[in-house]
Amino acid sequence: MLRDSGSETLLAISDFQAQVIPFLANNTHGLVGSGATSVQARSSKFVALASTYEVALKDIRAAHKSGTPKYHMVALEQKALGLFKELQVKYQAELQRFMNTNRASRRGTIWSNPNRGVHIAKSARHSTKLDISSTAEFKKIKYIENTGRWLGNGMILLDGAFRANSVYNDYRNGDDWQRSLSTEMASFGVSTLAAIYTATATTTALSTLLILTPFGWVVAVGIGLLVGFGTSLYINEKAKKITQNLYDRQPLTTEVF
Amino acid sequence: MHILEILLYSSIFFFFYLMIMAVLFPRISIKYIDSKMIQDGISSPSWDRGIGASAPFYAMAIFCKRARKPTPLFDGSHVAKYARPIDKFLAFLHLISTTGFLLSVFSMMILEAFFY
Repeated sequence: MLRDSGSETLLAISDFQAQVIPFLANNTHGLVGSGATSVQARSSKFVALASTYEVALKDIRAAHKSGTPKYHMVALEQKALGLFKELQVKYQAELQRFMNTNRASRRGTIWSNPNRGVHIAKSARHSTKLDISSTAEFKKIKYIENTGRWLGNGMILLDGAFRANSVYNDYRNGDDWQRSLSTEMASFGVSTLAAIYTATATTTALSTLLILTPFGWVVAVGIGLLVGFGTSLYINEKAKKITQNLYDRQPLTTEVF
Repeated sequence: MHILEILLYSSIFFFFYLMIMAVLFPRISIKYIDSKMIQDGISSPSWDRGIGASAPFYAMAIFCKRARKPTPLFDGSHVAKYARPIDKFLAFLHLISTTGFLLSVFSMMILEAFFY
C-alpha cells in the first residue's frame, strides 16, 4: 500500500481512525479492516526504519566511548547518514508529524539533522536524546500500529470466537458437543477460504471488465466484498449440514436442500 | 439424480481442487514472479496478508491483456513478462478451479432460491 497511496493519505486515514475507533469496536467491518491493515503496513515499516536509525546512532556512541579507530567511526557515521536519508525520502510526512521536525530549532534534532544526531551520539553526556522508544510521539505510532493489527486480523478471530462460544453452549447444555465442534471447525475453514476466493475472483473479473472507467476498481471491490459475504453465509450453512451428515453416517445430501 | 445434488457434488469436487491449487499456484508461480517483479521496482500487493487472496489477479494478468493495467489494487504490467510455461499451466488450472467452483455454487444458490 506504500506505493498505492502517499504519506498524506495514510496520515489522514490514521487521523480518521483515531476518531472512529470507539465506533469500530462495535461495528466490525471488513473494508475498514483492510484499510487499517494498510496503515499498519506503512507505519510499522516507519517504526522499523526509525529503530534501525536509533540503533545506528547508539552504535556510534558505543564506538566513540571505547575509542574505536577513525576509519571505523567514519563507516558507522556513513551508515547512520544513509539511514537518515532513506527516512527523509520515504517518510517525510511521518517525520514532520510524529517527530515534530518542523518545530525543531535551527540547530535541529536528530530527526531533522543527521549531523546533529552524530554529534549528540559522540559528545552528549547521556543518551536520552537518542532514545526514541520513550517519546510520546513514538507511542502514538505504536498505538496506531496495534489497532491496525487488531482490525486486520481480528475479523477472522471474531468469527472463531463466536463458533467456539456455540460449541461451549452445547457442552454446557449436555448436547453432543464433539459433533458441533467438528461441524463448526469444518464450516469455519470452508466458508473463510471460499469467501476470500469468491471475493477476489469476482473483483478480478469485474475490474478487468470495468477498467475503462477511472474508478472501476472501487465498484469492483465493493461488489466483490458483497458477493464474498453472501457466498460465505450460504456456504457456511451448507458445509455445516454436510459435515453433520458425515458425522451421523447419513447420505451426504440429506436435508441439505 | 437431482440437479441440485449434482451441483453440490461438483462444488465439493471443485472446492478440493481449489484447495490444492490455492497451495500450488502461490508457492510455485507467484513466489517466482514476485521475486522477478521486485527487481523492476514493483512490489506485490500489500493487502494480501499471506492467505494467497491475490492469486486470481496474477492468473488473470497472465492470460488477459486488460487485467495487466495497473490499478491501485494490483499492478500486473510485469506479470506476463516473467511467466514461465509452468506458471501459465498452473494459472490455467487455477482459473478453471475458481470458475468451476463459483459457477457451481452460484447456480446452486440461484436454483435453490428461485426454483425450489
